[in-house]
Amino acid sequence: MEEDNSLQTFLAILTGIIIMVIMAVFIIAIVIVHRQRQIRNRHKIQIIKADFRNTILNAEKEIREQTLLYVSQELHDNIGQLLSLAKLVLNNPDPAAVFEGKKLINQIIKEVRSLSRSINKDYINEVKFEDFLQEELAKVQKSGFCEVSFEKEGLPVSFVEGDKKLVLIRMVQECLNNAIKHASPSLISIKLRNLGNKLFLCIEDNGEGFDMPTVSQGLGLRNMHSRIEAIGGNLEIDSVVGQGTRIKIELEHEE
Amino acid sequence: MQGKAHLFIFFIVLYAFSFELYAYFLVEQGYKNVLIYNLFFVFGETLLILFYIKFLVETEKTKRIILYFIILFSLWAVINSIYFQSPDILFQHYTHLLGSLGVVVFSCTLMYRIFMVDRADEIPLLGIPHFWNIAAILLFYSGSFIYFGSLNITWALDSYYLTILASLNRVFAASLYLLLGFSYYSPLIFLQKSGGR
Repeated sequence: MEEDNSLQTFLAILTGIIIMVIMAVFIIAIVIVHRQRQIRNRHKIQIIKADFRNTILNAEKEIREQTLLYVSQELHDNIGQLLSLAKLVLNNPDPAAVFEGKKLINQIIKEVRSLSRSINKDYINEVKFEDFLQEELAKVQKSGFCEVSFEKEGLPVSFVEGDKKLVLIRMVQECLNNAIKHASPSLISIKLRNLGNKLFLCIEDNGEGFDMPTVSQGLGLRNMHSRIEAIGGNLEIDSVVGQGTRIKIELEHEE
Repeated sequence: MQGKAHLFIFFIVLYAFSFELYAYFLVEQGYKNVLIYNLFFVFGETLLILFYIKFLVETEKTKRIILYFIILFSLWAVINSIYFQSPDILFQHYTHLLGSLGVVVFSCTLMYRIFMVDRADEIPLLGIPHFWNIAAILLFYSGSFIYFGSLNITWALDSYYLTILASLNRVFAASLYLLLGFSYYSPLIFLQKSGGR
């Protein structure tokens, strides 16, 4: 009888201990799995942050390169020409030519000021996004490449996150460059719509267009997608051969 | 919400301290304390723990299931008291079995859902007081489930074995209340170590 009791007690204690050990293992397993997941997530976040920093650095570098290219073109094609013209005019002994020469020099001063503004490091940070778009379009038109149009709807755009503006500016430049280099359009238009914290941008040209399945695999377009994703936006490209290209950008931003 | 949970746990600790003290006082006076344990431990404390788990659960469906279980448990406690185990004569281990089974199952569910699925991952698990509370509840109730479940078998044992089992149970109960009491210091230890919040 006593043996039976001892066995029952032993079994009761053993079952209790086994269940408690199972529960303890369950708790420890949860802690370990959670910790591993935490480490994995931290690693992922670090990679995303590094990608984002890389995107911003690249955008900055490319904007700088674009600006330098623009400055060199302006110095060569515009200011250089104006200076040569001023020299020719001022070589003329006619008193009216002096007046004409002064006018030319004033124009050169204006051009140089405008150029120096675009080289300024803080220019991108300070310029309003709408003004930037109009200036970029004005540059295209001034070069005589094609006609341009700009439409704006909704509230004025003011970016709290400077990085988003930087990337967006670089994307606009890239879209315009692509249109100029590859599409030969007669019209480039930009439509901007700001609904408070959501921004819609549409860059459209009526140029040659391209074959979507072939070109969409290219590095350039993939880069554009990864850039817009890095700032939490969405990019949609639609192109038809012979009809032109439409690039839609959708971005949430803080006002 | 955090403050409310803190107060609730503090209330549970105070509540357990009060009825244990009263039960001890009754024994010292030579009275039976089984009614006190049936009312305040088997029924009252299990209900409090179930409400605490319900409070922590985030999905409406699980909240509803816990509420149904609480109703079922209360009904079963009444039926058991009337027909099977009189609360002033016997320890109601039938009621306790159902209650602790519910606590163990819901604690496991909560552990899995709150800490593995729903929660954000920035905070270390050991820095969350509720984690310690639920872990302590789970360990205590899984042990006491067996202890009280096998009570009708062990009742016939000699006092030596019963004392061993009862002592083990007391150690687990003391660990539970200690953990409930100290769990709110865990953020101070584990969050500071990992850089704080």
